[in-house]
Amino acid sequence: MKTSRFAPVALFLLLVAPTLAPTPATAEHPKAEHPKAEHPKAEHPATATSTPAAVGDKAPDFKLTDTDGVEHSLAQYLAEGQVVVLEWFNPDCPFIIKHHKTNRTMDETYATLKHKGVVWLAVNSGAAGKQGAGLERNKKAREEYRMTFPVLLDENGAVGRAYGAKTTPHMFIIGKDGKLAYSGAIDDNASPTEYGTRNHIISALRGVLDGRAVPEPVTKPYGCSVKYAD
Amino acid sequence: MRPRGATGIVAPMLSHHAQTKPGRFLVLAMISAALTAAGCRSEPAAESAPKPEASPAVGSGAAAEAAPPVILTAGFEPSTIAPGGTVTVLWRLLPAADWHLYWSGRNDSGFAPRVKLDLPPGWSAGPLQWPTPARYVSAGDILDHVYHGELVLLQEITVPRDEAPGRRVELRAAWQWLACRDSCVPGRDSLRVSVDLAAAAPIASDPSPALLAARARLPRPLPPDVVTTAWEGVVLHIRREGPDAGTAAGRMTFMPADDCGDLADLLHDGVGQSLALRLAPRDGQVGPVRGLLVLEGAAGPARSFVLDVPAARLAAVPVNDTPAGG
Repeated sequence: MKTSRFAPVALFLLLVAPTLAPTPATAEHPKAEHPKAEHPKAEHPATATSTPAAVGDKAPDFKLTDTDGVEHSLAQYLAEGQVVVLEWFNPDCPFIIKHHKTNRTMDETYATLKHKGVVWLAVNSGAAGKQGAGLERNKKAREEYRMTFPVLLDENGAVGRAYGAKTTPHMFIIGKDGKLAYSGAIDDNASPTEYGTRNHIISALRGVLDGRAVPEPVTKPYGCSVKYAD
Repeated sequence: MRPRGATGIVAPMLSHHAQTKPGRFLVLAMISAALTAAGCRSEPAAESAPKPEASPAVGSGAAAEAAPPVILTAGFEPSTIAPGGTVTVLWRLLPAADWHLYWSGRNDSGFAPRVKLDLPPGWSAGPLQWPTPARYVSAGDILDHVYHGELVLLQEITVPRDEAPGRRVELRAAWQWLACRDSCVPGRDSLRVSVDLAAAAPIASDPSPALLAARARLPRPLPPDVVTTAWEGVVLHIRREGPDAGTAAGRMTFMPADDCGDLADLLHDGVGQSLALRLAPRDGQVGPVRGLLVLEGAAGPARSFVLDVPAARLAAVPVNDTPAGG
């Protein structure tokens, strides 16, 4: 069986992955909520705090640098008439390992679409010192996973928060019109080791590229939490 | 290549003839985690010293954390099964200190434990019964519901009436889960449990302390006098009744189930002395609002109830107070 054949590889990597964190892991342990006064209740439905972009909205512009020092901006790709896929990325998250190392879902999906004017960008919003963050780790991971697209570093998390990226991988598609056309999962199996039967990005991109409505523009993303700054 | 022990780990098979006290919780199998397949020593006890492992694939030279985060065991009550009878299985997942597991309801991240049962023909299994989790917020407004410490899931298994007694039956359960702290580690394990079918139903006995404790952590049906719910446009108001209403100690927490309607901002709306849950309308209606309602109070520990408020049509949403459905 395919899954069990790959499981030991993924498990091995996961076990050693924590060694890559440059600072003691205990320092970043997220705290359980003490809900006393942390989240003041919003008084009116319309005034939620800095709502991330929703599907159909104009996609937030960004300018980020990749692991080779090259700058990428959304405006630049839109000016070229490209469709942009964003993949939230953390090289040491089991769900990223599942789609980049155990299987090569992301690169294989990109390979079938790139000749159609699709740009694929991985974005790492992990804060300095958190799991899978930093230039060196991502540079190395890009080689190790034989990635065919760049990894952009968003260490202050501003782009991740603007898009409302929750998980790695959380996928977004931005159409040529600059609007968010898809937000959600890569496929339909949220397991860290099993694979889905339906690739949501392929389905959604068919719609976007043909100028048709995306059948399922929002799905529930799955994965590890994005390791934002506390 | 077949992994050595990643799945299908040989479990000790205990005959129920060896069990002298019917009705007592029986640990059937204690399996070291699937991580053995990765060349990493499993340590069943949480306090075991971690074994540093070499990490030739991606290691930076630092010592790895080697203690497996989760130990899976199972038991069931009563300890004998007769044709036509039902037993309650106690699936126990014990994460190492500081690690957590995920609830089956709505979470922003993570993955709830999942089981594939391999039962003999005609046998049936009820749904997993999940205890009440804890709300858990990570940086970036990421809201999850998790379990710290041991997670005991209950499940009822029914034997068909025409099953022949006097023989041994093997049940298999393939589990997978994700354990996280600042990082996450997936795990999987298979339990193989053999059961001796008795000719007659076992003599009724009291549930074990373990089963009673597990049941005490399950949410209960919502009694009519605990809260009131009322729709106001896209907002569902939930107000407490009784002595804790409107007090600082009388906090409520709503935890949405997977099939709950779209919530606009659970992070802010989900906790308070009274709740105003904003729903995102879809197809001219809002809701349903389904999930757990955890009520704290001045007297005693928090109580957890199942909330199930039907969807309301937006065009004709009257402002009325009705007791919440159970």
